[in-house]
Amino acid sequence: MDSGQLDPADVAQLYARHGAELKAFLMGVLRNADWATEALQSTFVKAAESGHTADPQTIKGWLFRVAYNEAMLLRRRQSVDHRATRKIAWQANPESAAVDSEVLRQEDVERVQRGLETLSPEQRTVVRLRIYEDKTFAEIAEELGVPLGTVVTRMRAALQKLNRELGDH
Amino acid sequence: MNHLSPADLDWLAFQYVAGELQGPELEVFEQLLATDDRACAAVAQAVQLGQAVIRCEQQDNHVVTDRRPAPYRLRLWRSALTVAGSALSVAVLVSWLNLQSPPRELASGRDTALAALWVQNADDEIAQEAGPAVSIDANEFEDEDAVPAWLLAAVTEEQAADADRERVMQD
Repeated sequence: MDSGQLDPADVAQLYARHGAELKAFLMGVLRNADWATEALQSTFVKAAESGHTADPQTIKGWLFRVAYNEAMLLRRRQSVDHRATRKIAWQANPESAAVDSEVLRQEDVERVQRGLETLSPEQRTVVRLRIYEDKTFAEIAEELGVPLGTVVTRMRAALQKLNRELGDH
Repeated sequence: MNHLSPADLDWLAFQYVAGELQGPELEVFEQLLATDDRACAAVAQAVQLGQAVIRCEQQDNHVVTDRRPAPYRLRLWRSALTVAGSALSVAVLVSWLNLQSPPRELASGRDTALAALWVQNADDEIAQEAGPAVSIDANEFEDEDAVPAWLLAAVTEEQAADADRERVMQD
């Protein structure tokens, strides 16, 4: 601390506590696993350099802000227009179906599995078509022969149940 | 947007991650991300949720890998070769730079650690793409809380370099 930097053990502890959530956040913002890893590294280098200035009570928020700024810098450097990117952070198509184990824990999968089992068959179908098969709500509505609003309502209700199962924030 | 309920925030975060927010909605939500921890956490959870759903669907569908069309396997090989080629190029470039430049006392360890990390990431990416995509191995998650080597190496080297610099300044 005298040197104005966080101790490596403190940085390691921060990583163990918040690394997975930050990586998931960066995946959501950047939609690219490599860039998310790069931004995560920059975030923890910044944490090592100036994390001591953050209030320990709000360190998670501080890390989120640093991560967001690093993501924006990276996005500008890569000249990526988010609005033009249709790509989805969890990439449901089979060509990139690999799941990042740095983001996802086994217990999360088990919780979501339990949540999926509580869904109605209609909700489960919408969730599968939207997330796993990466179909738009309009495509799903057409495929199932139901109004678009019904599909969105089913998805939203399903998400509420799944999020409740995965954990409140 | 601070008045948003957790359910509204989860829904917005899902739409953001799914690429469905457009125009002003997208801009406002990104402004929110810059300042609101709850929004950031909701985005993280939306990503984790999506990945978990994919995992569960893969389990239910079993052999996803075997159902992949032949062109996919060709593309996988091509991308594996590209990554391996890139890794080799970087290794050659790093060696060449080391030969060209005078030895650096302060940061050479960190460069090596970063190069090793880069190559390891490339290997991990190939392994992740080529590995079985269906079953969940409990051991896979064994070290999920472990701190990655790159983080320890980067922080330790950074601090060692600073200590050296301070020593030089004092001398």
